[in-house]
Amino acid sequence: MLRKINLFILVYISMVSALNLSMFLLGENRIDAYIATNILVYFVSFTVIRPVNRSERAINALNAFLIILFIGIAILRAYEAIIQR
Amino acid sequence: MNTRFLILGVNIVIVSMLIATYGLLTGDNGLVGIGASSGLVGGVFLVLALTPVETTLEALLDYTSTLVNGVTVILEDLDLLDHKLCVEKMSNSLLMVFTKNECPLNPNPGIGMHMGFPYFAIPVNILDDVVKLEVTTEELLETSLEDVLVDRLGLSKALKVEFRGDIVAIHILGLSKTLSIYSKYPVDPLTIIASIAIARLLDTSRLRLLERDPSQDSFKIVLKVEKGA
Repeated sequence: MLRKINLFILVYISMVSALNLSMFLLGENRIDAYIATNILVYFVSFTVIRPVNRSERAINALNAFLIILFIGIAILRAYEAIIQR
Repeated sequence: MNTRFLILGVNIVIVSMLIATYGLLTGDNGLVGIGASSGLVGGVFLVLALTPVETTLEALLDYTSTLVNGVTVILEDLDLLDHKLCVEKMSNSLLMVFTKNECPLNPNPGIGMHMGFPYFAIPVNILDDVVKLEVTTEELLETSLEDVLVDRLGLSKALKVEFRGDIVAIHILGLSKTLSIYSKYPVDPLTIIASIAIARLLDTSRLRLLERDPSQDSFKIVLKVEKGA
């Protein structure tokens, strides 16, 4: 039985690789799309598998950074959509 | 620090930077996106390198199993397998007392006798940073206990507390798989840690375990609170 941390790495990297490859082959050119899907995959993998105790400071800092980054990307896209109208 | 993850993370970040740079030079935003995404993966590895992983936990589990087996044998020899658990507040620590009779007054650590019945008392120093609640309401007790047992110690996914009069019932839901194997032992970490946490939060002179009901994925503990002078 895989340890949780190894399972998380396997699932996270597999999903990120599959998504990135699919997006590249479909001709996706937006850099933020790759980053946003990576962040989503990270949170899904982390929440389901929970490889480490969530009270670890470094993990909390990483999670906070990724959430802020994702929100920033979403706000930027929403702003561009509004401007184009 | 986990050196494997550190080296892996650094390598992934370097490769992703090269891919992103190549993408920028050739004007291919897709490659830049892949580079950025891979850089994020490398960053995750670098953070994982800084966090403790399960190896230490496995060593602690082996140690715990040894101690649990040892205590179980002592309880068996003292005919205390079917025991009542009391948590007694001493001058500056707590004492866990396993007895078949009523909770002894002023027990001594170790093996002793009370009214002709043996008891086994273990001094406890865990959770000494848990602060006594100023106001003891059911909601506050549940929040504080969740803070300790779920968020800090990761014993379970959730819990529910009922606090009526002097009876505290704790329903622990989604047991940690690591600890659920100990639930069948007469001395299990969940009952002990939950009892100690309640004793610290309520600052009782004595806490008595009335009921302990483990099941597949959940655990119910009922405690009686006795406040002293």
